[in-house]
Amino acid sequence: MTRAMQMRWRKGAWALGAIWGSAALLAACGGGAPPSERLVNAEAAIRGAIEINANAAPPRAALHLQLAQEQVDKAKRYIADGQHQRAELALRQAQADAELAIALARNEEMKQRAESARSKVDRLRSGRPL
Amino acid sequence: MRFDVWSMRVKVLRARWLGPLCLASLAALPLGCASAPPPRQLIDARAAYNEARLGKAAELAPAELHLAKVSLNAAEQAFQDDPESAETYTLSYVALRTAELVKVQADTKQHKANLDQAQRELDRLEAEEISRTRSELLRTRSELASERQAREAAEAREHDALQKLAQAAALSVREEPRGTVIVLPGSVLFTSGEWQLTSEAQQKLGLIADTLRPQAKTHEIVVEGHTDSKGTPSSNQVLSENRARAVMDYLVLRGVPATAITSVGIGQMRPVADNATSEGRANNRRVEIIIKPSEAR
Repeated sequence: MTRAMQMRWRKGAWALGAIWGSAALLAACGGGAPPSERLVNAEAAIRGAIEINANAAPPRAALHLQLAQEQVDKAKRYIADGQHQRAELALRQAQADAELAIALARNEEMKQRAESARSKVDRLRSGRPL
Repeated sequence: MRFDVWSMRVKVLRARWLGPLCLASLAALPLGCASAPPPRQLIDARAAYNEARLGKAAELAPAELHLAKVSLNAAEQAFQDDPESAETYTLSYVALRTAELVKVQADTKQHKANLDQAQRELDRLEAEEISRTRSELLRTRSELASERQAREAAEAREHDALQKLAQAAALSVREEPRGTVIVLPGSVLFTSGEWQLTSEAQQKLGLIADTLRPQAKTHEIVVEGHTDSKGTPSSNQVLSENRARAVMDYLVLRGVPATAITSVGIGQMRPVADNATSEGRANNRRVEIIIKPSEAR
C-alpha cells in the first residue's frame, strides 16, 4: 500500500465517521431544538407551587407537586441525552401537575378562609364574644 | 352490523339518560375507529371531564371547562391518529389533569362565594353591634347626666333650706370638712345647769327638724353637746351628754328618723372661745348638729 493510498483511506474513514456521527445525533435529538422554554415554564410553575406551600397541604397538592418535580428531573436527563421529543412530553406532564398542585393549594386556603369566616359569623350570631 | 345496533341502542338510551350514560357513550365512540384500547389516562380524563361538566364547573368556571374540553379533544385526536404513541399518552395525561384542575377551580370559586357571603354578614353584624353599643353609650351618658342634675338640684335645695333656717332662727350654719354644722347657743336651749329644753328651744328645733327630715334619708346626723370649763370635767361630760340626747330626742319626736341620728357628749374638751371671759364661756356652751356628707358622693 502506497503512502498516497493510505492517506486517501484515512480521509474516507473520517468522512464516513462524520456522516455516521451526525446521523446518530439527529436520530437522538428526535428532531428540533431542546425544549428550553417549556423547561423554564415548568420550573417556574413548581417554584410557584412551593411558594404557596403546595408541598405542605393538602396531600393531593403535595403529590402532584412531587410528580411535576420528578418529570422535570426526567426531562433534564432526556435533554442531556439529546432526546428532545421525550423531554418535551415529560415537561408538558410536569406543567399540568404543577398547575394542578397550585390550584389545590389555593383551594385549600380559600376553603379555610371561608370556614373561619363562617364560624366567626356563627359565634357572633350566638352572642358569644369573638 | 352488531356495532350499529349497539350504537343505536346507545343513542336511544342517551336521549333518556343523558347524564349517566355520557361516560359510556364517549368511551364507545372511539371504539369504532381505533383498534387498540384507549390508555387508562384517557378513560380517566373523559370521566373527569364529564364529572366537571355535570358539576358546578359549567356554571362557576365555564372558561376553564372549555379549556379542559380543548385538551380532551386534543388527546382524542392523538388517540385516533396513533393510539399507542407517547404523545397520545401525554395528551391524555394532560387532559386528565386539566379536567381535575377545572373541578378544583370550580370548588375554589364556590369557597370564594361562601367567604364573600360570610364577610358581608360579618360586616352587617359588626355594624349592628357598633350602633347598638353607641346607643347604649348615649343612653348611659344621658342617664348619668340626669342623675347628676337631680343630685345637684337636691343639694341646692338642701343648701337653700339651711340658709333660710339660719336666717329664720338666727342660727349659725357652717360648711366644714366633717359636714354642715348648725350651732345652737346653750343659752337659747337650756337654763343654766339643766337639760330641759326651753320653749324657745323647742320652737327652733321644730324648724330644724323640718329641714333635717328630708336630709336624713341620705345623710347621717350627729348631735354634739359642749360645755364651758366651769365645774368638774366629769359633771360637764354628763351635762353635755344629757343635753345632746335631749336635743336628739326632740328631733326624733319631730319626725327625724331615729336610725339616722346619734348623739354624743364632748364635755369641755373642745372650746371654741376663751373660757376666761363670760362671753367666751357663753359661746362654748353650745349644741352642734352635724349633717355629715353623704357617702354616695
